[in-house]
Amino acid sequence: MDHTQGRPDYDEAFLDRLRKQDPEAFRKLFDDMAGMVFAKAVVILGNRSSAEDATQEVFYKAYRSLANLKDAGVRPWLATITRNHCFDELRRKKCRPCGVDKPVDNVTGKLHESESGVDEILRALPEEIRIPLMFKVVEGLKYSEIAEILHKPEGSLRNLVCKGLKILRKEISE
Amino acid sequence: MTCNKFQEWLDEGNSVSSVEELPDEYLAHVTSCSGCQKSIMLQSSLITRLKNSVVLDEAAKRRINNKLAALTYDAKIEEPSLLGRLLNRFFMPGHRKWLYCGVSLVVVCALLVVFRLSGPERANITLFVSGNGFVTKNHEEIRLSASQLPLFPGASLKSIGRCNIVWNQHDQVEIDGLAEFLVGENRLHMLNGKAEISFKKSAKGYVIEMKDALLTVVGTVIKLEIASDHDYIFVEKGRIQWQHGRLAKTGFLEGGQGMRIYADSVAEIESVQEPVKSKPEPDRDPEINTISDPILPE
Repeated sequence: MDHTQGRPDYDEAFLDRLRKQDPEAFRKLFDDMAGMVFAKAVVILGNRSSAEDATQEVFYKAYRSLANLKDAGVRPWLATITRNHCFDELRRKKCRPCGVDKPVDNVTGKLHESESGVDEILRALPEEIRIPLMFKVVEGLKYSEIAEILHKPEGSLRNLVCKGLKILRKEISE
Repeated sequence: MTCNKFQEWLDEGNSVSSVEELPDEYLAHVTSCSGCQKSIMLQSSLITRLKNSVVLDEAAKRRINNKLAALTYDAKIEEPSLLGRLLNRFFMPGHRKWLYCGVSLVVVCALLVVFRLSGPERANITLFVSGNGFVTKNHEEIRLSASQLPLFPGASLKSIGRCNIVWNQHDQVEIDGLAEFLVGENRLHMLNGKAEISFKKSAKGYVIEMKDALLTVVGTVIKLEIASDHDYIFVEKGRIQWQHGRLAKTGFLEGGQGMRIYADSVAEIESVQEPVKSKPEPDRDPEINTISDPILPE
């Protein structure tokens, strides 16, 4: 299931309810958009545990600024908040020692099942490879779009994605 | 079409869920090349797993929703007004802030009322200066006379003979000599010169600041001089507490004792003979000569 697709169609009445911080409207927004926000957070942050926290933070930030919501669209607005929040989070994490946020399930205390596979490998990828790779293969963005987001030339991004895929293929086939 | 060409296509990050979905240019090659078939299957599997890794499962979604509901619900009921937010930021949360606000307002109003009502009393703390000298008022030098000139603390006084300073119509300081002062509410800052200073009534606690010395009056008649390298003090009557302006030295001088205080040295008490006491000047103002007995500390 691709959570980056499938845009809910919000009418003006619903946007007005959102602007007034109507709890029901906000709950619906969360139901519709949580997957997309979470996916973007995993793409940038590289692990589910941090992405879960980021999703909560993003929706909380969004809730607090609902009054300023423009008609331009909720989805791109949330996507921008997510991207900004996650890149900020990455910058903050660079100051912390490695391995501080081990992906542990909050309820069971066990490693998340899906993280014991690809996520483990993804985490081994350097950030400059992982992010363009995930933008390309998970979000399905064009190289020109990734170049715009990451402020890098398309040629470099192609090389990085190629390098990342080779590493992942090798890891998976072993 | 070669395997390398197809590999380049894969390295771009392209993928399909089955071989049949491949573009025509690659399909013919891949169907006949088992190596490339394996590659496309591996890539497809990899990309599917990557896509699955970003799917939000129901348990995680519920956890986030629960936390978020609590946060947004709290934010809803706690959302304060602008004034409330400012008070929260600078003072305290909850209803108590309004109580404190009200009490503070009442206190401020009460202080304003008291301040206004005490206007005439306030006038009493004005200084009155008379005698022979000058005061500087609004950058203008005014010659003193026998009549009392009202001043506020901070005035500059230049005595060229005998001057009398009165506070609250009670406390009095009499200055006799050629000296310059800044007059405070209970402080006299001697800037230069030489003078005999007498205190009347409740001048206890009055402070005289010299170049190097700080004197606290206990009730006395003293002679002071600011020389180029020292302050000279002689106590005629009563007692004075001295303190070095910069060094942590202090002490008392009794009647008949004198001392010199230097800038960088510890004050040394000298057995100074009372300076030659001139005969009572016949032309002295009789009112100013009536100096009361000193009030000694308890």
